[in-house]
Amino acid sequence: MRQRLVWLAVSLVIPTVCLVLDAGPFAWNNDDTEAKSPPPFVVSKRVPVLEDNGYYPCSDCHDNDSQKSNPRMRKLDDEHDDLAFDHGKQRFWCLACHDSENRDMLVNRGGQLIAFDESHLLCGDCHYQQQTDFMYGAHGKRLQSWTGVRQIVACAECHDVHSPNFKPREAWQPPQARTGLTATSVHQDIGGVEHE
Amino acid sequence: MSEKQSRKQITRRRLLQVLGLTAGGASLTAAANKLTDENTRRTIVDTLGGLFQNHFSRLSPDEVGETLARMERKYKEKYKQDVRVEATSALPNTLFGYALNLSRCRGYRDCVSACVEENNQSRDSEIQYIRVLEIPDGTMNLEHADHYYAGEVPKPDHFYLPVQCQQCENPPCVKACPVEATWQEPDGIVVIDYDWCIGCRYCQAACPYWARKFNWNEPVIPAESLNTQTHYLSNRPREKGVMEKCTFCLHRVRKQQLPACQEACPTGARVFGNLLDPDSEIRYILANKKVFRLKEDLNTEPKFWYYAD
Repeated sequence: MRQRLVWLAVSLVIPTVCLVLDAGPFAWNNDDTEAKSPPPFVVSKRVPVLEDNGYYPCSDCHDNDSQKSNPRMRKLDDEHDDLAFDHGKQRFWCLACHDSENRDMLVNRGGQLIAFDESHLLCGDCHYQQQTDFMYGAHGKRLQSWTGVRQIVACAECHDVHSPNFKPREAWQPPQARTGLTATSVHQDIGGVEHE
Repeated sequence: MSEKQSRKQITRRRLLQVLGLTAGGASLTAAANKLTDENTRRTIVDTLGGLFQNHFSRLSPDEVGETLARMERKYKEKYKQDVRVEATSALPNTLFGYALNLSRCRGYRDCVSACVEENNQSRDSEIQYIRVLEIPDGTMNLEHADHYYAGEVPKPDHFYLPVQCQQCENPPCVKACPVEATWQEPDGIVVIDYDWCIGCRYCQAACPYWARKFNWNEPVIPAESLNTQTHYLSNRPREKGVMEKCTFCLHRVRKQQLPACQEACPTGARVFGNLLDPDSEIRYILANKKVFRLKEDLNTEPKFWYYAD
């Protein structure tokens, strides 16, 4: 009886102490990599690129006076007709990400304004896994150096945000086959597709 | 143990050989030095210097300097422009590793193109350090992968797996070399002394990743597209009859720059970093992504990981 009581005490006390001290096998959070906040990083600026393209500041044209925001989804055939709206299988209209009042800002799901230079904070509203990976370095691209504070490219640098998938294009030239072999004969050897 | 001792013993024959070679080399160099015509003298001294050049790891700092200067003269004569040859040594506390996101790679071969230019690879041979394998979705048979694909990519129902030197921690190529012309540097990169290589290609047979390439012909690099920033152990122009391989752009990464393939990748599939830095991206990937290495069962311990998300 006494032995049982001792066992009971041990099995209750040890986890309780662990939980209180937040240590050992019953700690609240054993996964210290997840708990670590992302290392500092600097995202490349987008505004200068947009300015070069002649699109920014948006309020130059969209002044909410002569140009009022129109939430109706429609085909754009005057301005911005070169934009492909493939994002989200065409479910979105401009104002899903662009603020209808302050036209030089983006807006997230919660209605917070986000600068064009910080678009990675916006994209994460839906693409949260990619956003986490981006912050920690498993998504996106580093610039300049592998060490020091991370300089990384903004989402819109690689993705056309209005049509974010990478498009198929011609691959750079294939390697030359070894002397005596042609690409065709190699393909036949491996039972692959034959091409010129 | 006894065998090792007997190898270390200096026999009379060996002593005479070494003495003879040294005396011969020294007297030839001295004789050449006395020649009045500066160009002739240079050519002869350089030729002799190349002939008697020691293994890179046995060169004293002075000899390294002489060797690099001699190479710069040689390349200048060949390519008619100033070529810089460096011998930067490994940075402290670095062990380089690579991670590649297979769900991002689209098979464009931009990395291959950048690599060829950066590393002064022969433009008319089959030597390319990176092979991008085109593999049908749902399979992982490297034997049935196609690296001669052409045209528009990505092809439907295929994924792309670039393979280059995996910088094994337990490199079979180093063990295979009979003359120790290839070795692992302190930052984990396996390098070749192109001047010590005898071109036997044992390392090529030993490598399970087809990372090592042999110069069957005299390499052809148009002078205008030569990368003039070179390193002794990395991208300096090679000769016919020697091996070469990817060095993670050693000449760049030792200056804290990124490898050319990482820089060229348009999709951000490539992540390069220091495995000893716990805050590096590559350490995050290793800790949080499902990573794998090629042919892990061979116990080569590659420092090149693939992941998908």
